[in-house]
Order: sequence, then C-alpha cells, then structure tokens
Amino acid sequence: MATRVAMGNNKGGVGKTTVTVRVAEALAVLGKRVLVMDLDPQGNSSGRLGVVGDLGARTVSEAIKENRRGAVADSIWPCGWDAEYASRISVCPSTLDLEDRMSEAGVIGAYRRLAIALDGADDGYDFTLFDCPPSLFHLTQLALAAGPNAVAVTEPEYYSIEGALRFRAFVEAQGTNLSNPELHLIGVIVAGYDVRKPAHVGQLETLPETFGPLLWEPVIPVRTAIQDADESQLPLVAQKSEGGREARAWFGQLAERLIKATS
Amino acid sequence: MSGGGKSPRATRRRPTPQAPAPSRTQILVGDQIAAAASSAAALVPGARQAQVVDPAGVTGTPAEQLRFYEAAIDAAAENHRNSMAAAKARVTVEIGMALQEIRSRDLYKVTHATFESYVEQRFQLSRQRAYQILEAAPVMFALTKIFDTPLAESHGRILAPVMEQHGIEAAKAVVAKAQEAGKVTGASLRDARKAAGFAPEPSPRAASSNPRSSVFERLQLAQERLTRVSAAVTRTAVHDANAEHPAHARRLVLDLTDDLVSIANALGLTVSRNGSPLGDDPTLDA
Repeated sequence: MATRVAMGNNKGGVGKTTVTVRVAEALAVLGKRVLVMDLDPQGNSSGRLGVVGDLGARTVSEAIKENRRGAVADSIWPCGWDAEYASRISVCPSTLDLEDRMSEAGVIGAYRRLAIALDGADDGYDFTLFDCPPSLFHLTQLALAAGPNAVAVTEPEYYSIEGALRFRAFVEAQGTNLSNPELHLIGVIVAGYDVRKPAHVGQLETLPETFGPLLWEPVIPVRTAIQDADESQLPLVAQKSEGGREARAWFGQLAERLIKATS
Repeated sequence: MSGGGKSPRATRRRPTPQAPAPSRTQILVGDQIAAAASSAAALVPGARQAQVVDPAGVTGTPAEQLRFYEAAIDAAAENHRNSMAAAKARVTVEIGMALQEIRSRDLYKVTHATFESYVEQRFQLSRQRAYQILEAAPVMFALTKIFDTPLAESHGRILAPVMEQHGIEAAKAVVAKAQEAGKVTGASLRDARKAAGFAPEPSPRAASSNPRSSVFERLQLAQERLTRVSAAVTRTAVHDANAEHPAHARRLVLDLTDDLVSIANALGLTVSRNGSPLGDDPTLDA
C-alpha cells in the first residue's frame, strides 16, 4: 500500500489543489511514484494534471460507487503532461458526478468505500495524495478513512487558518469514528502568501505559535509561474522563468518534508 | 521563513484564529450519518407518502365537500399525534434502556462519582427525571413488542410496578383490560390495575400519619441525600470544575457552603476551618 496523505482545509480557495498537484510533481521529480485522487467534484486537480475530456465511467465516483476491493484500479489515468517524470504520476480523476456519492453518506459503512476501492489499487505507488473538497463531510471523510496521514493547507489569512484549525480538530477527534484510529495531522503547508497584503504578513507571524512543529517550511508565496502552470495544465518544469525555478525548489523541499514525515 | 526570502513589511496585528471549542453540535462522522438518516426517516413516517385528496373525487353539496376535507384534516392531525407519541415513546425507551445499563454496570463511575451527578452533568437530566425514565422504559420496551400503539411514558410508570412484581403478562393484561374499556388513559390503566388486583401497596411515607415519624423520615431522607452529595463533592471535582469554569465553580461552592452552614447551625456544629469561612477556600483562586 502506498503512503496515503489527505490534503484538506474546511475552507475553499486556500491552495489545496495547487499544493497537491505541485507536491505530486515534486515527488515524481524525486523519483517517487504518485497517485493523485481527486476528491473535489470540481475536478481541478484532474485537469491540472492533464486528465481532461471524456472520462466515461472511469472516475473516482464510479470506483467509490462500485464498493469493490481494488475498484480504483479501473479508474486510474496517466498524467497528461509532457515531461519525463510525468510517467510516475497517475490520476484517479473526478467530475461533477462525484457529488452523487454524497447521497450514499447515509448508508452504513459508506465512509469506508474509498478505502475498500483503494485496497490493492495503490500498491504500485509510493504515495497516494487525496485532494479533498473544502468540506469536512462525506467526501473528505472518505479520504480520511483511507489513510493515516493528513496535511492541512492554508493561506496566511484569517478564515483560511480557521478552516485549517477546524480540519486539524476534526482529524484529531474523528479517527476512531472513521475506523482509522491512527489518523493524525502530520503537517501544515502555507501557500498563497502575498507579501503585499499586511493581513498575510501579520497572520504569517502567528502561524508558528498556532501550529507549532506541525508547520512545514517553506511557505509558498504567490508566483505568476505557479498560476500560469495551473491554468495552462502544465508542469512547473515548463515555466522557464526565475519564478518557475523558485517554485520548483520550494515544492521540492515540501516533497522532501513529506517523505521525511511519513518515513 | 518564507520561501520568497523577503522579510515582512510593516505588520498590522489581526486576531489570531482559535482552535474550535468542543461543541454539542458536531458534524456527523462515518456511520453517525447513517444513524441520523435512519432516525430522521423513523421520526417522520410517511413524509413522502402524504395523501392529498384528489379534488376530482370530491363531489356533492358544499356541506358534503366540506365534511370530506375536514375529515382529511382530522386524519392528518391524528396521524401527527400518533407519530409524535411514537417518537416520544422511542426516545424514552432508548434513553432509559441505555441509562439502565450505565447504572447497573457502574459505567457512570468512569467520569462521575454518582449516577445522579452523571446524568445531570452529562445529559442535563435531573435526578427525578432520570429515575422517571428509568422506571418507565423497561415496561414500555417490553410492551412495544406486543401492542401496536406506543405506550406513553406516564402509562409506563403506572405499569412498571405491575411488571416488576407480577411480570410482563400481568402488565399486558392490564393494558388489554384498559383497551376493553375504551381509550387507554392514565385513569383507565389505574382502574384496570386496581380491578386486576395489582394496585401497588401504599408507600411507608404515605401510610404514615404520625407527624413525628414524618420528621424522622424527612431527616433520614436528608441524610441519604447528603451521603450522595458527599460522594459527588470531592476535592478533585471542585478543582476540575474550577479549571473548566472558575466563576460558575465559585458560585456553586458558595451555594454549597451556605447550605452546609445552614445545616451545621441547625445541628449546633461549627463548620469553619481555622476560623475562616469555607467560602474563602484559596484553592478556588487558582
């Protein structure tokens, strides 16, 4: 089984998808095989990893619905990037159909369906990263029931930090209810830091006190190269600017931090 | 600390978010969602099967049509009463049976010294209310399997001594007799119980008409209550309460102290330590 890590925050727009995709990329650069599970019905991480077009019935939604051991294997797509290391990245994509899985939340044992569907399907990977939706309900619970590690992603902004704190409290309190008593938060990643915003500067100063040793470095600042890579559905290696090189270095450090935290 | 390598410019302090406090309204997790969905479905029987009168089928004089629609409203109201009665009965049975196990297995001792303090602090149930539920739940649970109509909690308490002393068949016979007499009410159940010869013995307290024995009885009851108070008011409990909510804890201790001083005065005792009033216990200022 791969090392499974759920990336979450109760708030949206805090950089969960960007961090998930770029850490997956950095892990692949380091030679790791990575499976990205897109659990956000918006499907943004699927698109940013180049998995676009008609996905038919091969999405994470069908894998969960099937409720069969290893069902995820039938919904795995190769990363669509044109980069050497991209061959080490795979994607279990999502579409809006994933919203339908919410209706199953009221079924006994439904929160375990993703863990069951992943059983054996991610044995060939070093890491499985879950890009969680901005919620603590069923879809996020599916991810948290599937693996022992969670990472909170946040901007240095009041409501983002509040969302990260809610995510941390949820992770720390609900492992047993999710039949996953080993569930714990292994780190907090700060992204989207804008030095021009006084609020960001002020909140950034408080983060070490708020999260203590869980706070990972480096903080990821806002960079055009990252936004361009996201919007053009390309890897960071395609960004030849200084910003692109900086971003690759920062995410590389976060990937190494993740490896260290889970080894 | 930023990967950008730039030092922060002038900062403006904003509030720091705090970790969420434990709340009674937690998000549902795992199978709790399924349990809630199941409970909701049970609580609103037939919500999706609402029977709306087809206007095409309502004919006749205006008075006849009016009676038809009024009958529909009466039926809906009756359905509502039955549903609410069923929901209330279910709550009593589920809570009562769980409380019975918690008490009989001494599970409340995990967090509290006495069962009474446990139900009061954990569920905001008074001692009296907890014992009412405990008394009614077993007979309601047993008879639920026999009668379609849910038993009200007050009816359960009338039948509890019958089942306890004579068994479930006797309780069942009392209900059946009340049904023969018409609608099952508290009065009809008491009449049926009496007719069947299962009326409970008058309690010693009610039987006593001697005012002197009544005084001793009250003192004895007070002593029994004080024993429970003594078990609940431990130094650890006071410290824990003080740590959780100092102002509330201090007020409770002052009230307790007043009660103790009042009792001590009546008994001719001195309750102060080293001449200082108990209300000035320095441990509460921590």
